[in-house]
Amino acid sequence: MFTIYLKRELTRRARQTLVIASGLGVAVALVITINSVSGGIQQSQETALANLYGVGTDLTVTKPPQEGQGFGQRFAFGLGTQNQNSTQSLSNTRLIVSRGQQVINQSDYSKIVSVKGIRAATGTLRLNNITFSGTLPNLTLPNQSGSTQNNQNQSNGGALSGNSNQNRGDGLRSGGNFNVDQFSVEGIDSTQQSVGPITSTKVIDGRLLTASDKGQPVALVDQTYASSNALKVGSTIKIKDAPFAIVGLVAPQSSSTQTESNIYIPIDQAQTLSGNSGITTIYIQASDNSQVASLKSSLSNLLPGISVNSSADLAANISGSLQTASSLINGLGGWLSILVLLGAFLISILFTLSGVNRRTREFGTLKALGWKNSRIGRQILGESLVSGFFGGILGIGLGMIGVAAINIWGPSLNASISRFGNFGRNFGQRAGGFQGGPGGGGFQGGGQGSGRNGFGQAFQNVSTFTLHASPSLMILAIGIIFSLAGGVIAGLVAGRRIVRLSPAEAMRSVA
Amino acid sequence: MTNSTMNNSLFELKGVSKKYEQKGKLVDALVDVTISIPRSTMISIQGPTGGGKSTLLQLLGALDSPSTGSVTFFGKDELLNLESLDESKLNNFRAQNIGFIFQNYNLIPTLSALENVATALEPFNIPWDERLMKATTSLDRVGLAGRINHLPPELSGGEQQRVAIARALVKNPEVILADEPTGNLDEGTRDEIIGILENLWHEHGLTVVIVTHDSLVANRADLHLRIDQGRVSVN
Repeated sequence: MFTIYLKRELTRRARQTLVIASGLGVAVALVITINSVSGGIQQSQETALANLYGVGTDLTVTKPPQEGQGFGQRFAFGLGTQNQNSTQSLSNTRLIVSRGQQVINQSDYSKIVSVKGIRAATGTLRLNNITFSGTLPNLTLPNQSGSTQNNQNQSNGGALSGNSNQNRGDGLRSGGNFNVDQFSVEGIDSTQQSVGPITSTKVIDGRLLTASDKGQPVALVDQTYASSNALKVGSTIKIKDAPFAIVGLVAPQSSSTQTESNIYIPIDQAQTLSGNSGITTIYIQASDNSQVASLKSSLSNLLPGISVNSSADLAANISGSLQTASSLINGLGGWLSILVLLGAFLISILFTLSGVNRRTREFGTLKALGWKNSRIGRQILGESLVSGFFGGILGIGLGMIGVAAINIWGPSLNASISRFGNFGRNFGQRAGGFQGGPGGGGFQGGGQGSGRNGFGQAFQNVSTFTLHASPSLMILAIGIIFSLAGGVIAGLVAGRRIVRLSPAEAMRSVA
Repeated sequence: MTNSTMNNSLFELKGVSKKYEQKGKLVDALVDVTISIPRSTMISIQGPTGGGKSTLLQLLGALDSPSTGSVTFFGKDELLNLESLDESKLNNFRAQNIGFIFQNYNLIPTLSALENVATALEPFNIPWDERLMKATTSLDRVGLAGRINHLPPELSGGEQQRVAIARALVKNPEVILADEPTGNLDEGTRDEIIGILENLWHEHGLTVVIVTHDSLVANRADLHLRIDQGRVSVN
């Protein structure tokens, strides 16, 4: 009787069933859509972090510069070749540690990687290869002492100016004509494949560096950089004037992100060429994921002046539309879900109450026939529960349509991740400054801390993502549970009212 | 009623009063009613609207409880003081002993005639097939064997009332309580329904209590009660 009565009621009062189910369905659909978008954003954030961190990396250790410490690079130009127009030709290449980073020496590196709780660790040396070439007017400049301030805030502080946040800066004043060409070089441990920046890349052509490449002048090149500079496997690239054979082209795992550096070479080669025996970044994989926080604490207290960052720290430094969307979806979206759910519950309760009220005399008749209150309550609850189930199914359908619509729309989000947070950003904007050597012209260049190949590269990594919302099975199940819960609540509220009526009161009811 | 008739009583009401609130005022629906309803009789209850006819029927059927006084039911195997029974026992009492027939039929519009009749058997723990068999037999008794799968809206008023009678009969009750059973029917159908009720009384020895405004229906009964302003008199 229960099933037959339930089936008849739901099918022969289909409009009311549909209204109740629709209310719950819309709410469930919204919850599914918002959570799917939230999941997509979270996935994008994780991809962005993985790109910066490398897959499997739990912590990174760096040594940020102290405030006020300069990063101006000294280019020692000789007199060069003078022509009749009183200009001189200059060319100089430097391989220097990336701005915003200091070198961790081997002794400290050994201390860090021997801390208990580390499964794997690798050190890298991040460098910038900067080539200055061109002609400069043979002028006698005022204050030509060659000792300009390195950490000027202004870009144009000297007689000559170069816009140094571009690959090439062109000095045009006073008849000068020069280029600044730079690319990033990262020395990596060719024996370590499980952790480090290379884990977030994939080989497009050729191969990765291997243990046998140690000490060899071989290089991996970022595919994009290779394309723009007509490089391929088998070509040669000069790093600080030393030729390196390209053995592989790599690209980021995700097409929406960028590789950490333009060129990867064996770390011993990087150390030799740059004259630095240490490293700039240590990538660490913890033995136990649950112990990352305590490992971070241990490492932070180990040595003064080092910075230990987890993915959570980096996540806090994500900015851009991805972060805006994340905040929006987690804040407004969360509240919207709750409000819509509450609204749907209310609608469901009101419609169920309305439907049950219209049937009060019917239930009074059943009481007159000897039906127990519990039996009548069960019938009302059953009907409401099934309506809730239909609402859940409808909600999943609508939610999937919503998710599909978002994926077809494919909104683009970008994420800027600052490795050192605000300090890094400020520092990146302030860093810069070229200093003329003896006999050369002193000039300053302002460096902005952004731009893929700019001087600020060490500070920020910009990634662009197409939002892909994908509902998890968990959220679909939660959608059904929410809808069933709505049905149960509506059924209990409506059933309670009927059960409390005496048969005579119920029979007197006018439908 | 007198003591001489009590041995044959099905119901006995002693000093029964029923008050209820209507629009903020306390209304005396029944005032100090003491009567005995004899077994296997057809009784009509007449009186003006609002006089207390339906209230008396509801007290007999344990749909409501008296404000004061006692309502005793003399069953085949037991004597029940209805005013002192809890909800569960009242449900059992109604399920086993009372068959209700209402002016508006009170059928469930989404269930077929057969399923409507079967609802009366829900309190009894019997298999669904057996319920359907009993319901079919009951509908056959009221001449609706060919309409068992029709929904109430697909049936005429007379047919719907016959379904209601079949629902009342299907559990073989001791008493049929009919509240204006012909109130919404034309004369021909009214006679049909009264004929069925008379037949139940004569052939099956049921006690039939009919609340009616219709004197023709009332005259078919062998005991006539009149209620006016909550007070009962025997005509």
